[in-house]
Amino acid sequence: MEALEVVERSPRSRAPDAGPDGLHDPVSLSLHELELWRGDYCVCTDLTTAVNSGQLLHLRGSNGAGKTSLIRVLAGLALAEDGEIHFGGEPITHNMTAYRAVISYVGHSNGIKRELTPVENLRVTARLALKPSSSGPENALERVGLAARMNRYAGELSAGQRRRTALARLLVTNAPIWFLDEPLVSLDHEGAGLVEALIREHLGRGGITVLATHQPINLAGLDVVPVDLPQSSGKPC
Amino acid sequence: MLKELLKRELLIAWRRPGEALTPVVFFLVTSMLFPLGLSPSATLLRPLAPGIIWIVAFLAGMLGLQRLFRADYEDGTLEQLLISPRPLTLIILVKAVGHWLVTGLPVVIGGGVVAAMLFVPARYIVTVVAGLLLGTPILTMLGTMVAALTVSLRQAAVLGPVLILPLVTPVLIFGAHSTTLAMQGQSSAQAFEALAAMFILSVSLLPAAAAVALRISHEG
Repeated sequence: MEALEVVERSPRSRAPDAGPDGLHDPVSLSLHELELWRGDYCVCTDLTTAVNSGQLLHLRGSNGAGKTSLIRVLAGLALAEDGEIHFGGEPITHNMTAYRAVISYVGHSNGIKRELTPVENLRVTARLALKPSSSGPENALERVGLAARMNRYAGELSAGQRRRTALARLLVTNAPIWFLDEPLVSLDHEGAGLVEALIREHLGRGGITVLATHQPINLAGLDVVPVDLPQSSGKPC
Repeated sequence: MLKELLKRELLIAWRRPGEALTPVVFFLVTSMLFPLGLSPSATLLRPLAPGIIWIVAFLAGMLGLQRLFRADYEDGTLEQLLISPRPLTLIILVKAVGHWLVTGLPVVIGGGVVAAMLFVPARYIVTVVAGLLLGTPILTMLGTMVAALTVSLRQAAVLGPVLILPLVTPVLIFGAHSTTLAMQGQSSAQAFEALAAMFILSVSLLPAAAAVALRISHEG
C-alpha cells in the first residue's frame, strides 16, 4: 500500500480579526492509524496526523481519491475500517454528542431546503446548534453577501447563492471545527475569496478547518497540515 | 428546537401542497370507487366499510412515507440532522408528528366522511374516527422506521411496502375490528385497548429504532 505523504507544514499564523463571537476554546483533532476503504478500493491506511486550534487540515487528491469519504468519516457521518479519531485527546466515539456540538459541515449537497428562505433554513440550524452564534442568521447571511435575498425562497436562488447560504450555516453554528467538502463548487471568483476570508477568520479565532478540495485556493500564510491522498488505483488495501 | 423543527416540517408541507394533499385525496377518491365497483347497496357496503376504510387509510399513508427522509437525503439536510448534537430520536419523532399532522390527520377527518358514504350508521362514525386517531399514528411510526431503514436504497419504493406489511397487519386487524364489533353490538373496548397499547409502544420505541436505522442506513 502506498504510504500517505504528509508534506511539511507552513509557518503558523493567526489572522487579527477575532470575529463577533470571540475566540474559540483550544481544540484539537487527531487521526490515529486510520484505515478507510471505499468499496474494494483503499482510500488510506495508517493515516496518522493531528491539527490544533488555528490549523487547517487540507485533504488533497484527484477525483475519486476518497477526499469526500475521508471527510465524512472525520465528521462522524461514516465509519472507518480501522483506527481512531480523537477530539481533545479522547476518541470521538466515547462522546459523539460532545463532538457533534463542536462541528459544522458543508458537504457536496448544500443541506438547504428549497421551499424555505435562507433565513428560515438558518433558524432551524441555529436551533439545532447547542451554542449558536449570538449574531443570528440575518448577520450571517449579510456576511456571505445575501442580505438582499435572505427572504426569498432558496429554490429561487442561483446555485452559487445556495452555496453561500450553506456557508452562512458555518457562522450560525459557531462551531470551532469546520468540515468543508469542495466549498468552492458553484461559487464565482468573489465567492471563492469569501471562502478564503471565512477560513482565515475562523482560524484566527482559534478554530480548526478540515478542507477537501481539488480546486485552487489561496491558503498562503495559514498553518496548513496537508494530507495527500494517493491516486485511485482500484486496488484493495 | 422541537417547535422550530415542527414549524419547518409544516412550512415545507404548506409550500408543497400537492405532495401534502396526495394521501387524503387518494383516500377519498379510492374509497369512492368501492360503491361504484362493488355495488351502491348499503347491505353489501356496510359490513365491508371498516375493512375498506383501514386498508385504504394504510395505502394512503404509504404514499408519502418514502419522501419522509428521502427529500432530506437528496438535498443534504439529513446530513445536517445526523451531525446535530440534539437527540436524533427526538428529531425523528418531531418529523413523524409533522408528517402525521399533514397526511394522517386529514385521513382521520376524511374517515368520518367515507364512513358515512359507506353507510356506517351515524352513531358508529365516532368509533371509526377514534380508531383512526389511534391507528394512523402507529402506521406513521412504523412507516418512519421502514423509511429510515431504506432511505439510501434505490429500491425503497418496492422494498418499503414489503417490509412494512407484516408489521401493520395487527394494526389493520384491530383497527377494522374496533368498528366491526361496535356495529355488531359487541364491546370494542379490547380492540381499542390493543390499539392504545400499540400506539404507546410505537411512539415510545420506534423513534429510537428509526434513529439507529437511519444512522446505519446512511453510513452504508
